[in-house]
Amino acid sequence: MFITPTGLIITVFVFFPLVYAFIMSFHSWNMSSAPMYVGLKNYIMALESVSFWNSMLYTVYYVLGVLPFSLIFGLFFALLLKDNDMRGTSIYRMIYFMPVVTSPIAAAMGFNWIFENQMGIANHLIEKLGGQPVSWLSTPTGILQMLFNHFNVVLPKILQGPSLTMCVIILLGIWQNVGYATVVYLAGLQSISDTYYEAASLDGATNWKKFWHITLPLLSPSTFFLLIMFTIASFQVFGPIQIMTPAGGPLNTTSVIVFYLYRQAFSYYNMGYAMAIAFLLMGLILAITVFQFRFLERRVNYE
Amino acid sequence: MNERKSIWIRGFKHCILISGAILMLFPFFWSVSTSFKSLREIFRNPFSLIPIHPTFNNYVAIFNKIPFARYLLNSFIVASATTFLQILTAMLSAYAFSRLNFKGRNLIFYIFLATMMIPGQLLMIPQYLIVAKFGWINTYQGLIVPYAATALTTFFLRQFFLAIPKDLEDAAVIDGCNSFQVLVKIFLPISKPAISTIAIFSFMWSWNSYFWPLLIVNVPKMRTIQLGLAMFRTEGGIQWGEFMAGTVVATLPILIAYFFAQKHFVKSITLTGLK
Repeated sequence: MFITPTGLIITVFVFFPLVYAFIMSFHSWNMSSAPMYVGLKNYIMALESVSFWNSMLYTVYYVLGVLPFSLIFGLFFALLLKDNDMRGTSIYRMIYFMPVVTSPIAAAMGFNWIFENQMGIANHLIEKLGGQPVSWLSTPTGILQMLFNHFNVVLPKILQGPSLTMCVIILLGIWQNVGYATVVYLAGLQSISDTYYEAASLDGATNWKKFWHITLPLLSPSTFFLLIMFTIASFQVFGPIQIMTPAGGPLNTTSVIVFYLYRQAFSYYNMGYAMAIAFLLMGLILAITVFQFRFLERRVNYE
Repeated sequence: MNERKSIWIRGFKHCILISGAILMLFPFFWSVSTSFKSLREIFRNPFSLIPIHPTFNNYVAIFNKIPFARYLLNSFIVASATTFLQILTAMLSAYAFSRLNFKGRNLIFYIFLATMMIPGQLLMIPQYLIVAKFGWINTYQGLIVPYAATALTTFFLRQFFLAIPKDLEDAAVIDGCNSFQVLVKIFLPISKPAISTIAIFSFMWSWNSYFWPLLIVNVPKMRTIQLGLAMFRTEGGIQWGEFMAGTVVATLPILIAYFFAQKHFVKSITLTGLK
């Protein structure tokens, strides 16, 4: 049978692990002794654990940092590149897409070096401009809290914002996503027929109105696609975190959910607990994706 | 008047786009620049953008100190084999799902599709345990086989196969070709664009993958390039010149391929949503 190879591999390496993970998430198991059935204990433990919720918060910071900026800059560059008579469009597109093909590990190495606490070029530049060097990769304070420090106000934890270190990792995420968003938006823009704009011009619409009432709604399928793609990928960020902050960052402020899961499984060997976390993560991603399909897709204009 | 205005606008656009391009390129530039600097020059303040006394020492060092060539070879073997197997398995299953009639075909297809929704990290721990059971820890099989077939490639190729007109194969069937011959002689040549798309993203995905090798490789000689680079970073102190040389070496193969097949890259990554 033609589907045997694919079927076999998917069965052994996808279906079986899925069932296995599900069963093990109800067990306590440290890999050396026999698994012990504990019911919902792993799930309850996760939901009661402060570090679990902190990792969730840091993950959400990452997602909320990366998503909007990737989309906005992608759209911005795509609008600039849309001009058909302009020279060099393809060169710009080629350059903007380079970070997309770069491996996250290599990209993280590059950013790690730029933002290195002592010798990074970011600090050299700040010093040159007369500023104080910044400990990019070891500052646990949230950026919003930093702002409010000037007014001697202490914000509640959830409002303190991503730590400066997390912001560097968010910046890396944006850098790797912008080119992708640009290319997707560019394709979207090129499929919008000129007749819409011509009709709007006849009615005396300003450029801003054209953008708001024609471009943006007609681009909504691209936006929706990017939103889904970036959400799913951002919730699973891991490699760059491990390169830039191998120990989970200052006061663990970059310990996102997958990093937390990895450490639970392979540093502490809490296998059952790690799998329960994986299911909670999957549930979350699934819930968000379903939400996006249910509530946002209605607002998408498919021509 | 209007013409002059548009020249100004265009000039302004170029200014913004060039600034954007500089930001995009800077991390590449800075990594390459650092990789050619001596230790003394790296620590020098004020810094120089371009190495004053360029040296190959960092490159020589990474190939001497750690088995970087071996890492590259490992990645090359794993990525090529994964790509080849993914194309092979996808062709077979896509053909079955688009042309052959068998019981439960659509059901099986939808079940396959559903697996695309499962986040990789969820499966990785049990996958690790299975691979360990097979005795495949620290082996090429362990790195390759779990990813030798994916629902995504099957789905992608099936959509392409569905668009191929039936008339083409009818003639071949009348001439006495069996399903397998139809697949090789008719579908394979027509599907070259779709297959090259799969080839690019499989290869790139495999080359850049990190989590899976991290789990199942624990001896230096089986490390892939990404893993080698990451371990080098965590074990290597502050050898920034060598780190950057390693980063350049790890990135170069994909970037070279990208420059030569740019359009295919952009197309395949955008189509599949893979990064």
